[in-house]
Amino acid sequence: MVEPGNDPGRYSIDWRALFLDRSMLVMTALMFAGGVACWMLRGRDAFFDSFVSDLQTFLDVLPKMALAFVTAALAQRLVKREFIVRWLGDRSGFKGVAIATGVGIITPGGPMMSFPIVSAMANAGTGRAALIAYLTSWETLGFQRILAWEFPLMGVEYSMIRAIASIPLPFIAAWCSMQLPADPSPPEKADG
Amino acid sequence: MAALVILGGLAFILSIVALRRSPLLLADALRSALHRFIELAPRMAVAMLLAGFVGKLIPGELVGRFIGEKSGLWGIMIASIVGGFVPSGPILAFPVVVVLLASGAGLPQVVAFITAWSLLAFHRLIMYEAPIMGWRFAWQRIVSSLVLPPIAGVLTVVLMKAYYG
Repeated sequence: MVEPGNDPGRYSIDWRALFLDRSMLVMTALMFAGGVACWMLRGRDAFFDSFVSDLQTFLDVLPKMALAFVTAALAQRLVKREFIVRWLGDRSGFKGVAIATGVGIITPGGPMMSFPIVSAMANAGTGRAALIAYLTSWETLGFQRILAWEFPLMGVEYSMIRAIASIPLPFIAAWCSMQLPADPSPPEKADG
Repeated sequence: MAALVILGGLAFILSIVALRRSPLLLADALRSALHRFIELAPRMAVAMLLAGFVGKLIPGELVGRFIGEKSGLWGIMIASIVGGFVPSGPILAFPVVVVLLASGAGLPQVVAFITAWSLLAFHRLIMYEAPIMGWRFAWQRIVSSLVLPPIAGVLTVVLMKAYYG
């Protein structure tokens, strides 16, 4: 998935890349196949019923997505990577896990932002449990995903229930990771 | 409606903060947001239509039987396993979830599905996590995360009982 928000140098719109990208072509082909199958197996009415209601949902979601992208782009520019790494530092134990969870929630951007942060944290001496708590928090509680995808598509109520149910998850993941055998030379990390 | 108000409010507040720091920062952010929007909107339309057609093709009673509100813990387990194998980004995953909900999937099951998808996302594992952190760390994280989707599903049941009675 492309994340142009993380690439400040690229603003001209490449229309070819936009429509001829492989995942887009595969999805479009599947969509046509699905449409034909729907028309033939479920009938004309089912086809148009699905088509119209999906377009309505799409138009409903569109302005929310636009606002969410503005919020995300601003957050990515206002929350600095160095700030996040420095905040967590080499803390470990319950406090480290709790801080890692909080930092994971506010980390904006996609995997291009979060994984370099995890790598830098590991270099700064953050323990394995805190790193795992951080990633779990970013993946399940990250505000950007909630704003950009869940609010527009699923609604606020659903998003809140899922988020509240997910608050314990980073702590449970950190606890589970503490039960795993210790690394031979912690913290283990890959070069390059 | 609530989503629109919250998103609009946040975008407005952050715009003011950015504007006070530097108008260039705001312009840069708006341009990149526009780029991302133009890039994602057509994909979103295709993904939603695709998910909708698939939803029509899959019999509703099948969704209801396996991951419906009444499927309970079994449904949560099934949703956790299926969600872990969804190999796509949010563009396709969320429209699929919308269709699942419309075809009779239960909320706790859907929460387990999304949690499994977001924790195990296979494409992210291969493209980012393993190359940057190494396979050893990636496996340790995944093993530590295996129990989380069912826990999130069960907690949703508890929350719904408390909230809706």
